[in-house]
Amino acid sequence: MPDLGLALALVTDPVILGLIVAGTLGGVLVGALPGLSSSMAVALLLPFSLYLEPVPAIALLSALYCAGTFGGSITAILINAPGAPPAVATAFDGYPMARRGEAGRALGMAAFASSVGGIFSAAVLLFAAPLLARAAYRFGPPEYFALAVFGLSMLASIGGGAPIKNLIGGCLGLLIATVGVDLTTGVERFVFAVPELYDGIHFVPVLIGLFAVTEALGQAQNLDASLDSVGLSATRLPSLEDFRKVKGTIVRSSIIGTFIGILPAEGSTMAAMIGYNEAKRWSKEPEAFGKGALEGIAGPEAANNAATGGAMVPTLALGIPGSATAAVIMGGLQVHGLRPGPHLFEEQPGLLYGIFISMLLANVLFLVVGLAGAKLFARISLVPKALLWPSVFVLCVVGAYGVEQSMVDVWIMLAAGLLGFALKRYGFGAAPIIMGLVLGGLVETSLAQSMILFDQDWTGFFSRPVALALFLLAAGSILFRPIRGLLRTER
Amino acid sequence: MRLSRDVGAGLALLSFCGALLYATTFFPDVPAALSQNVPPTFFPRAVLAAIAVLSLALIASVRRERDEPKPGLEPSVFVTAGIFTSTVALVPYLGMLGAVGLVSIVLPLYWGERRARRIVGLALGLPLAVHVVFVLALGMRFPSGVLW
Repeated sequence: MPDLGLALALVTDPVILGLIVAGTLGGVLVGALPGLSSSMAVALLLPFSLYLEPVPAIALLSALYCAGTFGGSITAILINAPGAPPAVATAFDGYPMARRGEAGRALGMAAFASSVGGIFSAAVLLFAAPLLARAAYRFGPPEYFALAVFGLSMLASIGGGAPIKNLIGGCLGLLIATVGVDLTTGVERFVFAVPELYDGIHFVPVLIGLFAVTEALGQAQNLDASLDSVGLSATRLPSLEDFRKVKGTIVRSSIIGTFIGILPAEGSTMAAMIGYNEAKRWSKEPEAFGKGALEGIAGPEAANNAATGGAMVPTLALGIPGSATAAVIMGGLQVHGLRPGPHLFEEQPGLLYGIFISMLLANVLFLVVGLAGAKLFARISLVPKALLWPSVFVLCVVGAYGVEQSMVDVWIMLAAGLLGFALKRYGFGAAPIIMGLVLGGLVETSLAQSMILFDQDWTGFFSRPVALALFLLAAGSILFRPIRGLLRTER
Repeated sequence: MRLSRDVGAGLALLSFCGALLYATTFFPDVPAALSQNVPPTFFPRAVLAAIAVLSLALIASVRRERDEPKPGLEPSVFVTAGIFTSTVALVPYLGMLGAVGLVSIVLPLYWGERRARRIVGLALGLPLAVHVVFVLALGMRFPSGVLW
């Protein structure tokens, strides 16, 4: 059962409260700026969170995660430029509503649905994470290896139509994680006589490069693009009747979003798309979708924010990231010397409540901020990119340098950004690489430990039912699409 | 004959795997006392093999239809990448704050900003903000450069 005393102590801690408020405001702002996603914001903030204690640091990052996911909807609705990928579906109906003078109603619905979805999933996190952690208490290295393989296999089902590319991305991440001295044997691998690489490639510069520099170069490709904006003249908020009309959609999408979030690797973007499709499928007026239907905003917004709390469940309880941003937060835990997994809650009893409180408060706060400050945030989103992106690049350089105070990390950040841009041109996303990179250590260490346990006989995995079940699930998630494709072709 | 983008990517990945696989043959020998463990080459080679197999699957999955032509890279991407690289390369000479100030002038100018007041504001404001937040508040130490 949750320790309410500890939770209350955290709620009344002024430092944590201040950081949650700052994280929420920053998250909404970042989410509202086209091109800046919550993953990028969390990655950029990660090096600076090292100066905080673990609980306040992770509370800050969690608040940023929640608020950033909502923030993307502001620009999706007002200027038809989703601030972040999870808000893409919101633009389908939000922008048509804004164009016909109902921007306030659309924004109000987005804030409300996001808030309900986020609070629901934070509550699920509070209860589900310790239960899952308890179930995983007896996991040994073979089970962890199988779990990590299962998490990576889920990459085959994210990102729409490129399962092979996602799996290759995950493997590239694993490969980057092998750079440095092998901990079991002390042998140097891929260091190419660069002494700074002996300790391996720190993932913070890599993820800053992959998220932020890649996006900056993408912006350079479209320097002439202009945003089609509408004024926020109509600030009328949704009526009670509006809320009544979408309550079923919000409940359904909150459950869907939380479930999708709990699945390893599946994040808010997929939750939003499924939330949108389900809202349309259950709607009495599906023909209104795409033309400005309130349910078309409530569905994806409740789902994408519900995925945030859901994604934190496997991240904290098992050490398997539930989404790209959760992978970055997991990196934050590791940077603070914490090992996500079943024993995390014993070692850091305040952490779960810190994350729960920060997510809960962030979801309540952005409801207020989103409604009261939408006009301001919409204006901020129109900051010229010629001024915005140099500032982002400066943050990248300073952030990458700040981890170890080393220029090698800055070069790694830059190289990751250039490589990420090239890979993106060929359809390889950043998220799978990050997943592979964050899980790399766990995969290799648990494999090596398992092999020692099994006396170098890999068939020993078959004697572990949980590991075997996870391998079968992994095989299923990789083969599901090809088999479905074959069956469809035969028909 | 024009290669499909995915075939090109697959072939590039296969070459990359081949090069890294070759690099694994130069890993130092394992001390005898630890030789009963999984060898340090095992995991990287297994991952490289997985990438190679997936790359072959990527090539095999390419359909016969031609790719939709993708717009070529704008010169602005290369120039921006060059500005980023130059900024990092100049840090040891100009110091972190000098390089930050320089990129705050060059990049906005190149990206089309022409309002002098905004550019000057950014060029002064960004290094100042970096100094106040990271040096004074967080105690970070930046390279000071050789030119100062």
